[in-house]
Amino acid sequence: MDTLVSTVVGVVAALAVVAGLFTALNLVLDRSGQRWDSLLRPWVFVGPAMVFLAAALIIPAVRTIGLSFRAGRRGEDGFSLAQWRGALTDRNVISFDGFTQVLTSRLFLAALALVVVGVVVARVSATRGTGSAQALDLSHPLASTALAVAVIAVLLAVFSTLRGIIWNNLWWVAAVAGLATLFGLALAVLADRSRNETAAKTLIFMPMAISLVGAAIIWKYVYDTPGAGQAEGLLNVLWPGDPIDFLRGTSSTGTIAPWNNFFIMIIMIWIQSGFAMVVLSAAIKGVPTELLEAARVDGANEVQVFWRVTLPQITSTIAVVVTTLTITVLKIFDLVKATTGGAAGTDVLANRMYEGLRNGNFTSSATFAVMILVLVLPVMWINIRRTRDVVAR
Amino acid sequence: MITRARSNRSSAVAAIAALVLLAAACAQDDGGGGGSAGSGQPKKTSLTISGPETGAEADGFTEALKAFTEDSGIQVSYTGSRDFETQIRVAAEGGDLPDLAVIPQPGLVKDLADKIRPVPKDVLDEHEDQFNPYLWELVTVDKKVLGVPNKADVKSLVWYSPKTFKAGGYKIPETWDELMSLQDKMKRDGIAPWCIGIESGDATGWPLTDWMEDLMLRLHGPDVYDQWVAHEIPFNDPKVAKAAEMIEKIWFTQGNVLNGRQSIASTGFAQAGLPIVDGKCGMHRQANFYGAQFKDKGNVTFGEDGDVSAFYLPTIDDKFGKVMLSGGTYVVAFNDNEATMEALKFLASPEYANARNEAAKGGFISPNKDHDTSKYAEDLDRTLAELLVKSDPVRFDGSDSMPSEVGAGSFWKEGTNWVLGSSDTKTFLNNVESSWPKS
Repeated sequence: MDTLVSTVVGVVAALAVVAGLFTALNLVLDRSGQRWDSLLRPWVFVGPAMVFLAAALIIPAVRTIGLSFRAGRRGEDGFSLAQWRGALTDRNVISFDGFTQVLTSRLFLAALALVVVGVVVARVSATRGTGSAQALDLSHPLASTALAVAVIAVLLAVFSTLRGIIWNNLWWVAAVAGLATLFGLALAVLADRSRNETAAKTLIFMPMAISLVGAAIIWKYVYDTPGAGQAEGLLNVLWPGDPIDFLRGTSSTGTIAPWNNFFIMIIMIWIQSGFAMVVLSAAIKGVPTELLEAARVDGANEVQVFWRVTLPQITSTIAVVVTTLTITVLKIFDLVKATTGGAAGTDVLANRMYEGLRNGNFTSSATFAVMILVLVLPVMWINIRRTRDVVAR
Repeated sequence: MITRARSNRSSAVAAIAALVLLAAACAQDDGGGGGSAGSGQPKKTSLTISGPETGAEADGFTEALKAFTEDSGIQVSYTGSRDFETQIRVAAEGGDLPDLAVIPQPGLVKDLADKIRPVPKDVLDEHEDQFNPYLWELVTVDKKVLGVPNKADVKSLVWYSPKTFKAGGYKIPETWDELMSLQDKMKRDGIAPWCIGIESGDATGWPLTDWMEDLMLRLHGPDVYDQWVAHEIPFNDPKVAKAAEMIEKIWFTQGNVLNGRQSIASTGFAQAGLPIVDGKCGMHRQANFYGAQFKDKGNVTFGEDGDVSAFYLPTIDDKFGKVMLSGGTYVVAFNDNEATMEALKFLASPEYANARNEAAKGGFISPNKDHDTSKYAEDLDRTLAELLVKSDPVRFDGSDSMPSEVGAGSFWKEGTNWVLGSSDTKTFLNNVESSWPKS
């Protein structure tokens, strides 16, 4: 009871203090001269937020970056690159074993073939096209599909051969951002103006309301093998052969590693497709109807309308969805921890960061945190540049 | 202008109200009951204690704490967590430690040494002789004793069902060779010889460490065992590899483990041994505290005429004697408050052990030599307590004495990966060796 009362009082007091401070400062500025007013008033508005951001975000970030460049478990032993050297030379963190295998694998060669096909089709379409000054017509469905499939094939080849935590994270990004956006787009298009649009969209969006740990538990009921204290998972019931532990990749006959990673990604895709669908649906509905009608008047069928009118209009939204998903997925931790704990080759950077903390090895933890930061920065920069362009326009 | 004046007045009221509430909140915090503080604070009326045992395992402990509350009037609330090792570290960093904690590894006690208040002299004077001296040594840093032994684990045990043994005509093995032939006989009869599960949340992999320690003791004896734990021989030493290979032969051979090798890392340790009761598997090598799981299942009787019992894991080479792997937990105090010290004293006393036994929740053996063995609800527990006293040499759980980065970190993680087949024996041992902190 004591705790409840002090919590409520604390929350109310904090809000009241902020409101009181804000009003008090405004009062003071009202009384002071014009010069002070215009100089200081912006700071009154922005100040508290900046203080909070500095204390909770900027200073800890700088300290963490600094900590990763020190030796000793808590950074007490002075400047050192030992943590970075150790992490980047660790085979478990990043390894290029099997790189030549990738280049000679069937997937890679198929990808090369598809790239050739795509480029040829795009070139032919461009030269035959009307008034287009481009060298390659990439909005031709065959061309873009071929190139997209080629990219996917290359990624598959790379991620199933090269092992390491950093590759895992990149695989997560490619798979979840890519597939969730794809499913979101497909669902948005299919649900658009259909009879049960609202119901369908609600159902697909619902997984977003579940916590990742809850989702992990739900999907364990799908993936589990029969064993002491657990029932056989749904997928294993339907699976024709021997039961496979999809999360850890083991079965009585062998292993499906590293594809067990993908089964965890499926959970994330299941959750995030709803988000992609909702955003892309709004974008699709935002395409001006005059454009669509003009296209139909010009004799385009529905497929052509989608590929050549709708899709180019929503590329910026697709970019937003992809970057948001990328940032979300680079931090992935809960799902991996709740399903496998990082075992069986499913380890991710955030898990290593957590383990460093758990063992009291703060410098190691800081190193992995900075790695995540480095991976996220380019994505954030793209996002910010886009927003600035939009604003400038 | 009118609106301005009105807003001025209401803002003034808001500002004053804010200050008043702020003052109230501050006053409230000082009077509250939580938080840690130095001595000189008034004696607390309620204490918090956290530990790793949850569910059935913790029932006996909470019952014993109730006995303490009845005697002293101090409320004690216990919070158990499967991720205890992480949470206590976070609490240590964040400064919101509980008053006391049950620490399952002496290595972790040493890691937290600067947050722990040493055991006071009066507690030691009264209770030091009641415990085996090596128990005190394990948690002594700079000549100060940091914790009080709370629970002793008898680990070199194999749980089995007397009914299954009688039905199959199996005899309790006295030597390792007999154990292996019993294993093969069970396989031929169509019963999975072993039930094994190592999943345990954040601590997944710890039952594997117990197997390795038992085998290291039996293969190479206590001296090599001590060298291994103290890192005087590397973790990837051929002697250690030999122990790992023995586990490989038992765990990874098809047909030896119920539900196959692939289920080991996903089967929870708490459920893993229960199929013994139903005759689905023959043996489950696990410490005495597993008894609490059978109790929780319900309708399970203990003893040679009951549903489950335990026999001593046979030795491989008699020249080392009747080696026994044991373990245990320690209670530590994080502040000097009078109530905290009173609780610590109670937990060091035989009365605590007796109270816990009276609660009859099972899975508990006291390391206190003066506790009343007649209070054990199960004959089996009494037998095991006496077995612990008779065994020689006794060694404490190795992974619990290694630095927690290894013993509660890489040993678990790499071991789990090895069981899953993600790495081979050499990689497993090499990875653990390279994770040993260099200091």
